[in-house]
Amino acid sequence: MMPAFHRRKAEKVTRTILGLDPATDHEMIIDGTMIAASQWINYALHRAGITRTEFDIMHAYFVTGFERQYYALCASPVLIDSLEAIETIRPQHVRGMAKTGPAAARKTLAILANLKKTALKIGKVQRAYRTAGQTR
Amino acid sequence: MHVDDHLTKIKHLERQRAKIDRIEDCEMWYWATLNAGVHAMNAALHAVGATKDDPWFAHNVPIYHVASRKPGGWEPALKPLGDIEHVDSPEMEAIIPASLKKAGVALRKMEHLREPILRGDAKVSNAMLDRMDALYQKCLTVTRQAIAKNRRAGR
Repeated sequence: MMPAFHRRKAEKVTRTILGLDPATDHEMIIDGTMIAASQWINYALHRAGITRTEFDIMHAYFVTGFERQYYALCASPVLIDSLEAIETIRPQHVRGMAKTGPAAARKTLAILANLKKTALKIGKVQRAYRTAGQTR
Repeated sequence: MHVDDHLTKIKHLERQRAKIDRIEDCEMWYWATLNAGVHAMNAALHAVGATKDDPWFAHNVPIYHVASRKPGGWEPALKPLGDIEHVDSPEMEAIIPASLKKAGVALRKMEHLREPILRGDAKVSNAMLDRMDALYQKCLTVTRQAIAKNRRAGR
């Protein structure tokens, strides 16, 4: 997908979850932050020319060690670190019955806001770095 | 997790789903519906004894987590199948008994709508979402019957 599509999806999902209440709706908010986070990452990496538009990242735990280091150096460590942070908070609150859902939802919203700010700042990466490290 | 915890999650997700517009907010409406369907399947699988009713929850099966003795902590372990996360592989479908097959088929069809609705660029229509909801209702009906039958039998 093209960067603009990822941005539209990220903004759309974020609009949905911002209309929910962290005090009562933590499952959907946390899941939404995970989905929107992956869209912001793909937006930034495609726009920078670091990943091809046919290759999308969905989860931090599928990203290899090499790719993670490469994305961090070419773009920002905040991208994958943010998705990983959300995916670490998610299981016990979405799949499990942890009692800290409201605080967890607020935390993932803050992580997403910071990721969005970072993603919007990332520009095109120099061609030499792109061709040297692009695996996808 | 325990059967009743899965049923509580379904209530949470249905309440949250009812707060949003299914066309305008189709991504999260879809996601909540799919997750509620998986909780229904997990509750029924536990009820019929196909998987274990216990406090462990799934995080990338076969990795499971449980609350540790230290408050706020979580303990991971590799375990035989307990909660499942998706019905999208032969391994997962193999554990679904005949009494829950129709719910399994419905869930698999719900999974197939993931790309167009959640990540793709298809124009999401009311017909598509009606189909998703009908599949979810089918999943609920079949799983609830199985849970009720096993509760009546005292299992």
